[in-house]
Amino acid sequence: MEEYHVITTENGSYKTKLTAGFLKRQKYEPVDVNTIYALIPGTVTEVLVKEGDTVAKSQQLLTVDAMKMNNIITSHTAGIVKKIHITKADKVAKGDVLIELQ
Amino acid sequence: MNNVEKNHELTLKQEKLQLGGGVQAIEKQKSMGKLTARERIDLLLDKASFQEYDLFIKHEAHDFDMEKKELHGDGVVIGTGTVNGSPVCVFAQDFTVAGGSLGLMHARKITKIMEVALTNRIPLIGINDSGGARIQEGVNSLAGYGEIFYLNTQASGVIPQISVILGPCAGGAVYSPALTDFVFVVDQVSKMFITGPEVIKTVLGEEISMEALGGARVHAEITGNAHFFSKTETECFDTIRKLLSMIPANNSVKPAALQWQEPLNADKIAGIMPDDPSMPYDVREVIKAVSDFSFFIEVQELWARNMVVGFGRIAGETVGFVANQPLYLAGVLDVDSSDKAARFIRFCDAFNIPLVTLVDLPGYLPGVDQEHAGVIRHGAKVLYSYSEATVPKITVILRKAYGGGYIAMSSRHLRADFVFAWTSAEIAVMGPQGAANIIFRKEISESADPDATRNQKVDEYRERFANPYVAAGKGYVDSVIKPEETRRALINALSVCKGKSQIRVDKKHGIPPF
Repeated sequence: MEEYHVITTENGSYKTKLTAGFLKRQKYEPVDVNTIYALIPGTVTEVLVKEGDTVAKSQQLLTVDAMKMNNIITSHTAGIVKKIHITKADKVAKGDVLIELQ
Repeated sequence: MNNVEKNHELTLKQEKLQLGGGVQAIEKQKSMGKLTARERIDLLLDKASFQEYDLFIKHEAHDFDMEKKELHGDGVVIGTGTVNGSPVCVFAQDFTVAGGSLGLMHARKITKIMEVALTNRIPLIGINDSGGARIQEGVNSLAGYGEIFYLNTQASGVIPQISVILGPCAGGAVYSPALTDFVFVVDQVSKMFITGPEVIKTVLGEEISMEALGGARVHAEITGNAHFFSKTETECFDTIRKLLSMIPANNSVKPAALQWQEPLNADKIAGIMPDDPSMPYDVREVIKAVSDFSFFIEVQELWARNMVVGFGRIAGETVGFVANQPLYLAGVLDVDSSDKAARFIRFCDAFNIPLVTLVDLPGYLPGVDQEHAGVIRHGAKVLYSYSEATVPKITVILRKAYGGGYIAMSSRHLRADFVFAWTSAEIAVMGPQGAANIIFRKEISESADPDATRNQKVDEYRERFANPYVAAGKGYVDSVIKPEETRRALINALSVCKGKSQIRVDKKHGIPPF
């Protein structure tokens, strides 16, 4: 038997059950512009920066071969390269941290 | 050959072709827990009413040695028959023939029966069980899909179109069902997706089973792509027959009226509403308490359960119920429940089915996910569909009707024909808690005991504004009623609206916020 929960809106709080869609919601996380993640799995074809480099916004950081395309990964922000987690020819999985800026 | 021999030859040919992919392929189909195309048609139609067409069609695949192969019926069975005595058109893909793959002639058979349905204004039921495009036929099979999609769209709003997913339905093939009015799925049998588990694994490295990606339950509960979920194929066809008994054959006729009886539980209606406005109840109890025989066929029962939509009958005539469901998410409007209501309202409007709206919602669901998922755009669909609908629109405000939610749920302002409100109705610009916090912000913050002051102000607001009489005093509610008077009020209002004729603003078509 499904359990009852309390839902609060601006108009008040109500005892109720939850829907399948509601249970699948993901909590909001602000975008972390300093961390470059792999959005799809692929192979690193070139690393264009090294640790300690100063980078500008939209500067090319690395290229990843994925989905039959050579994808250019650029910086979301200006900063300094703090740590590089990959080298050329590494295979990366979706969600892997590639480069950290500060 | 004499005539007797010729007739015998026909019988032999028919028997061979009707076996589809042959005995072994049929056994394989059964081992997957599936019925054959012909068994499915038999379950759908009235006994012995099926008239088949294009049994003798030959395929058009000429490459890759395909010309040497015989594909019986080219993998699809088409024809006409009756359901509850009324004619319908049907096609059923035959998975035992080349995996039910769609080639040019296969598609031509489907579009032929679609044209019959559209020309003669009778419902179309499509049974899908296919591996997808027949790769050997190349772009011809894409052409086939395109022709089907075009006709689905032409037929939309003219004849009811029902899709039954009884096997795989993947890639572009999913778009024919998606363009139709009602999609039926069966547990463990139906599989629908654009890109399958293999592609997802290759491209994204994510592993997921077909069932978890696009099984019946996923489409019934999460995506909303399916409208009816059944445990077995038999139950599925039974539900289709019930649904067809409630809706008209086309957009120029009304659904058949039936001899009617009082609801079975009419006397229970007075006890449904809890005294505490924060407590839930099942709004379907209200629907059943006002419907003939207490019969209600719910559409998209498992998806966006905070909104209930479906068909019932009142005094013999089919109506479409749209109701906020306090039992789930307090009945809030959100992205999914807005989509669900909007689409159902448009179906009813297209097919001359009066709308009965039962209102009890505390507004919209707060959350970043809702805002970012476009609750503005999706919520607007409800306003659009109600405003656009010209069928009789009767509204009963059961309890909460606050702010934008009040306006959206078939208010007088969107041209509801009659708005009733129960004595438990709270029609206000905001709920008492929210409103008191804003209006009396200063008094609450400056009070020696802010909580006590807040509670006092909430009670005051509730007393003065959270009732049906303020709106009734302005004519926005036409009549305040007791719950047990609801069915009588609905019968009366619906009979008054029988001859409703509303002149539409002249336009090619509107632009709903898709």
